[in-house]
Amino acid sequence: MNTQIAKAEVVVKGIGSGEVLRVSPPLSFWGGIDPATGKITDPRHPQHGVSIAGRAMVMERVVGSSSGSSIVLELIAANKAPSLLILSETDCIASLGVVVANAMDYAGFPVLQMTQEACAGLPEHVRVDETGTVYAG
Amino acid sequence: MRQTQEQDTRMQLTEEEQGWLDGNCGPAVRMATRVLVEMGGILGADRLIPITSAHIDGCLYHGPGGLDFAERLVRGRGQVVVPTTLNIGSIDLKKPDRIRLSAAEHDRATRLMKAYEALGCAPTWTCAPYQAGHRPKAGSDIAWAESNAVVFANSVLGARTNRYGDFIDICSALTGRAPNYGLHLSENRRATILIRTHAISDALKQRDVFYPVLGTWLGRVAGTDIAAIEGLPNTVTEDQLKALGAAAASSGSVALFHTIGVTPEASTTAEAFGDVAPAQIIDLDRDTLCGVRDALSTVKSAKLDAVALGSPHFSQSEMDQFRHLLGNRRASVPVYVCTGRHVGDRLASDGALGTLAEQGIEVVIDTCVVATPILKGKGGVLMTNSGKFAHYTPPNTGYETIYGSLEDCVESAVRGHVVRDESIWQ
Repeated sequence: MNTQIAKAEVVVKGIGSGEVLRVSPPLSFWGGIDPATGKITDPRHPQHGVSIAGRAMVMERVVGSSSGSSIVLELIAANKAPSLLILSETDCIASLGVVVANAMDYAGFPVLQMTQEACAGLPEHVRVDETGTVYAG
Repeated sequence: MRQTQEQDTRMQLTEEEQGWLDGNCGPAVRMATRVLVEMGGILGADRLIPITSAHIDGCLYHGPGGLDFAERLVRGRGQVVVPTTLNIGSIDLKKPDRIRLSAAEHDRATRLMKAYEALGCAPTWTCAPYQAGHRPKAGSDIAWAESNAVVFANSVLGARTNRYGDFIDICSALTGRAPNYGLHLSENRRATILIRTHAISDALKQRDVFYPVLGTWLGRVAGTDIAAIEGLPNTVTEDQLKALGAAAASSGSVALFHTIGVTPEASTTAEAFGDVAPAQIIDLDRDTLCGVRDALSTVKSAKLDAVALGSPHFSQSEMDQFRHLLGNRRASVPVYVCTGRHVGDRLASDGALGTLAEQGIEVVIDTCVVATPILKGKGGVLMTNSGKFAHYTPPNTGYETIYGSLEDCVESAVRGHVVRDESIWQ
């Protein structure tokens, strides 16, 4: 427990922990995730039906419409957001949703950036702190 | 190690902007500035720059969080400080019963639209604000949302905007500022891909039906890169460029394209490329084009259940063309024509709305059939002349799509089954 396993770049600061959910291929929040339930709704996605709520969501990048920012805010408002989000590419869609949520004093979640190699080494359950340090457990 | 705090301090704020962040201009401006500064840090902007125009997409209802955001801005005494237009909402305010949302959602979607009006935005409710009198000057920095409006503003008007989206659009309008990055910078506006279209016949290039297909293909090959298209006729119309851009923005993430000899930043090839050789040259051929055209249809069907037109919203000229093609005939399947008040108000005052209704034509105003539940049937086959509708209809409505020209769409609607004139593609 509490073993430091990686250091990520902080995109949006925060703390969070959860069971790792690797979402692959990357999806669009808008049209890909139901903001009321947190479930993946894109019928073409292999993880269709899986919920991202409360999970440590790991995805290469965010794709699709900029309305994805709204979906992220709605997920946070509905308490169905991931507990943290780790991406390998620069993103301004999901991050914007969290920045707005934080500005409204909603409980946002941390957004971090790490290489795909580093993401591959993540254990089943992770915790992150405000400095972007990732711990097992 | 990159941290939000460090990023905040890296953005150079003016004394005035720092004051907004401290709450000197009220809670709405404070929240808007905070969002811009934090996003500016994430986007790598060095500072905020003044803008002269905004177009807002955040007025489309997604849920209670977005409504809370907009109503907080209203309570926080927010008012836009630059001319600001509104993209479509979820409700046809002139005919609200048309929208098949639950009562609670209907109420919240209407409140969202009212909140954006209360912030001082013009109630244009259109995805084609550039045809509703909102035309920023070439070279001006603006903050526009809605992918087709962004690509039109950048490419056809020569104004400068990134692909802004929900929240950041209104934050920019309330402060008159946008983060300085991306397409606000001249060096990022030059083409890197040269598209040659000499293999395509001049006759086809005159036809409206060519442009959504060209745009769909362009989006796929260019992605987020900037292309300059060579060989389009100088008679290309604004509506054709609008259709091209809208399709390219939905199939790829195109925010800017140039057409050499036509658009304002590409009077010559050298200007389009900034005197640098193209990194890539692509020749478009007829087979590729026909393949893309075929892929815009998800079924091969003679059966037809609905026709949807007007994505982006029909201009006056497109509406006139549609009415001319329809003549005094009646449609045999439901036909939805989406447009804004800039066209709809005139139809209403001319008495044309009543005539069209009698002909089986529903003119949808303020909104759009792929953005909110309007289609009456339970699915089936929908025909459209829009590359953007063809792209979004299957995931958003459950309908299959068939792509055709406006002429084909009108003939099919009247006859009640799919009719397509293939001769122009030969």
